[in-house]
Amino acid sequence: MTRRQRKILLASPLLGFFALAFILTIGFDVGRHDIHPSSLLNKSFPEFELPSLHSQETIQLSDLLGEPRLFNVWASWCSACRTEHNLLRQIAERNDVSIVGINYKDRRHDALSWLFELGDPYSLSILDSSGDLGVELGVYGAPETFLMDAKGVIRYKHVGPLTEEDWTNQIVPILTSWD
Amino acid sequence: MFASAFFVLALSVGVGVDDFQFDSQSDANRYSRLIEEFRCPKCLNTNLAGSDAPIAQDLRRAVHRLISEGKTDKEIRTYMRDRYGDFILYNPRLTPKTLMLWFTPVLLVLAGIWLILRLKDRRSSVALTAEEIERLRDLTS
Repeated sequence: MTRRQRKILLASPLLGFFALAFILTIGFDVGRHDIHPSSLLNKSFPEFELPSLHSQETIQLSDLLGEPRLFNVWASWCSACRTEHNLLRQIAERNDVSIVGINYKDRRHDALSWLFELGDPYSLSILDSSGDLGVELGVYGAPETFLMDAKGVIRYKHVGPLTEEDWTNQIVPILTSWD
Repeated sequence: MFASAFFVLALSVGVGVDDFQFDSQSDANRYSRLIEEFRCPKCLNTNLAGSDAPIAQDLRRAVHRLISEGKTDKEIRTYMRDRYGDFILYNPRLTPKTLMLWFTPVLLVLAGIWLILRLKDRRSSVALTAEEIERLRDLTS
C-alpha cells in the first residue's frame, strides 16, 4: 500500500462520519414540516357526533355529506390560525366551498369571542373540546385543513396555515375537477 | 378495590398524571409498554409516556380507550400509524423507504470487517523473512 492509499484509508472513518451527518441533517429537515401528509388521504372522514359551537344541537358526519366540505381545525389559542383567517373569509364570501370549523381543544366562550372579533367564515362549527376528533383525524397541531368530497372521503390534507398558493394550486383544481 | 388501586399506582411512574383504570394488570402493563413505544407527534424525540404536551395526553387517552375496547397491540399500532404515519412508531417497519435505515448499520459493520482484514493482510506482508532477520541481527549487534 502506498502512502497515499494509507492516508485515504485512515481518513475514511472521518469522511464516513461527515457523510452520515450530512444525510441525517437533510433527513431531519425533510421530515420536520409534514410528518405524513398522506396518512388519511382517500380514506373516509371519521364518524363523529359532537356539539355545535353556536347552539345546543349536536352535529354528526351524516349531516354534512352530499356536498364537498372544507374542514378547518382551529383554536383561539392558535396564533397561526389568525394568519389563514383572512383567506378563509374570502373563500366563504365567494361561496367557493362550504367551510366547516372544528374548534379544537378550546373553550366555547373564547372561540365565540374570537369569531365575533375576526369574522365567522364557517357555515357550521363543531366543538371538539376533548381533541378526540382531532386524534381520529391525525391532527397534531392547529391549524390543519381537510377537503372532503360529497361522499365523505378525504381528498386533501394540509398541515399549518393555509396560504393563497395552497388554495389556488392544490384545492381549487380538485374542486373544479368535481364540477 | 385493592386491585384497581394497584393498577393505577403502576402508571404514576411516567410524567403524565392521568389516572386510568384497567380491567387487569396485563392491560395496565400493555398500556405502559405502548405509551413508551409511540412517539409524541408534536415533540422532538419524546415518547407519549414522557410528554406533557396536550396531544400526548389525548393519545394516551386513545391508547387507554382502545385497550378497554379489547383491541390487540397490533390493532392499536395500526390505528396510530393510519392517523399519524410512520413518524409515531419508534420502531419503524421494514419498507422500501426504510431499507437504508435498517441495513446501513449492517453495511457499516461489513465495511469495518473488510477494512480490518485488509490492514491485517498488509501487516503480515510486512513481516521479515528469516534472511532479513539474520541481517537485522548483524546490523544491530
